[in-house]
Amino acid sequence: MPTYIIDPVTRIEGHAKVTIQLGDDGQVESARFHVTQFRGFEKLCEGRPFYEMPSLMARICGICPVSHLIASSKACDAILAVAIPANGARLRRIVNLAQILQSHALSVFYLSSPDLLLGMDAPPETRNLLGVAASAPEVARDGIRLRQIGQQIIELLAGRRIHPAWVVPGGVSSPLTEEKRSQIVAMLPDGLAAVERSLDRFRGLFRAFPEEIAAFANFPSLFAGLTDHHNNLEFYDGPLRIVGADGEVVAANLRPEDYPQYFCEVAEPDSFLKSAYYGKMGYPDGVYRVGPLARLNVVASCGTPRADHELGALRAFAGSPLLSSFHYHQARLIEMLHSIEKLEELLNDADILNPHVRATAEVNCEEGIGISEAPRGTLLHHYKVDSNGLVRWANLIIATGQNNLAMNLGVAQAAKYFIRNGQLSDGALNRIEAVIRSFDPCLSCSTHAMGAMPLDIEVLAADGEITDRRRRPNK
Amino acid sequence: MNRCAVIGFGNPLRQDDGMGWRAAELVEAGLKEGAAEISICHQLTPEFATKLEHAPLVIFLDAAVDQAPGEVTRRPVEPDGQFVSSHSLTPGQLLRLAQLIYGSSPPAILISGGAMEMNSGDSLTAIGELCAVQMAELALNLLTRPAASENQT
Repeated sequence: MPTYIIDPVTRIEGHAKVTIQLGDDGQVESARFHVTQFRGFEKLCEGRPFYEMPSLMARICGICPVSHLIASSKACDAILAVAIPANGARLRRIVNLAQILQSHALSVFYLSSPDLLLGMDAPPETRNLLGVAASAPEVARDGIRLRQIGQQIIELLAGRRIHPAWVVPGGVSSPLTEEKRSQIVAMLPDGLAAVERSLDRFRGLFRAFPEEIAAFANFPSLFAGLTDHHNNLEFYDGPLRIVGADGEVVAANLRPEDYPQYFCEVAEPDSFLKSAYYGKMGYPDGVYRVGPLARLNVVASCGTPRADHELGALRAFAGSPLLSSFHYHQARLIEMLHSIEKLEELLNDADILNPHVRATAEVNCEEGIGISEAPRGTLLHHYKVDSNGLVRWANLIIATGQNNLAMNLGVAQAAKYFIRNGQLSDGALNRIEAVIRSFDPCLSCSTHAMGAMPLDIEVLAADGEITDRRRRPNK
Repeated sequence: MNRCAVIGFGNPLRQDDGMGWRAAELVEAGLKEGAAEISICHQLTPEFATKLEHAPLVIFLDAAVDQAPGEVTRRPVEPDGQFVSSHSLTPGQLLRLAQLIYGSSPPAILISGGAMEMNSGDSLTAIGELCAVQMAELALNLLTRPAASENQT
């Protein structure tokens, strides 16, 4: 039985490969997504003071450091046993929304728009941002501008775009000034126009991919995400909610402290990425998805008018809950729209310049758990410290791990659909990668190639002997 | 008035790889406030294309491993159609991106200094520091010429 190996998987954040096992009849028997890098942050933070955790954990990622800052700081708030000032929480929400905006812009425009605009079968050397810029400059311009707006808001608030240290245990380290507030508010109309133009452009485009909608991780699963108390979209705080494939509420008002009962993890032998499953359904049946698609499935509405209008249109087209992971792309655009609407609302809050943004305390509790929504889904940090505040133990549950079982099922589904009679075309290869891309996994923020994809595909006999090999070097 | 853009890039935690940062800081210190748009970054990313939209001239400041330690060079940069990663562009790729999305790209000059060491470390070597000073002088000469808003290449 030959095996196809796609190594590396491209246009994702980090390093991974895919193995596709064919049967004697040439049909796909199974396919697996392997993450081939190891980080080890849970171990290397042991012995460090808890107040270093937000900055240290933010180093996990250069795309979503703010998400780790926030979840980590919330865990540290619990160690301090403080309720942070209302304006500290408000400013954390603003920086988190800016993070969602810039990260989603990267995923939609830089990584996935080449597939969507140029086509899954376009020549590999054109499937990149330059290819998009050549074919549809206005799309590239809007994508770049949206990412820039998110990054500039982070920089204005937190001092720098990447790895800022402004979110701290107890709140944030400095209040917002009127000058910076005005600068941020002035950017929002431009962002709103860009994201609305993008939704108009992509809405019809998405419908031109019926096969991809059918075969990109399109199956029943659970969906998990935070909501607010009115069951609207929520990225910073609030109860966790899990819904099933027919929309029924499987669990609601889950508290972060109880996460070991519902977020369980298993390490599989072929990947450094752990697989999470819903504890009550066990492994591997408790498959659930997190992130933009899941968040739109667990809420009744977004809670902002423009995003709600778009959500209604998407549900009218694709149903509710949304089952195909292809819809992650449109969900991201809707969340970008919602983020801009929420940013405007928060920045116009009468109390937004209140200087009381941080509570201070000593170690009052030797355990803390923080949860928030990162661009890719629910993120949880859990620390245990000694009486001096030194970290004894840490556990991180990352969004991408929570999507791991679904990504594997999605890769297998797409491989079976697009590889016919053992023939692996370049378009089929790209579609299998694009399934993974739709989840926007963040395996780290290290290098990834794009465009002229470096491919190394080996066909292995049952005894492991290489019977065929196709290599395309990185250009 | 449209301002020239200066972009210093590299990793200041890798000794002389930070000379582009240092040179950009020296350029900023040597100009009247607001006379040019100075940016400092680890890597060139697509968002820097926005800084090129209206700039009459862009100067890139970077460390080099393919020239002798201490050697400072300047050369014009042309748009380059090859594209690999959205996390790290070359000056030529950035110019090409600007050309595609804005219809044109400004004249561009790369000023680079030959690195002595690029190991872990948060300060430049003596040679790296000297390079950064010379790179800044070259950039300031270009920026303070009367015709700085015209083609400088």
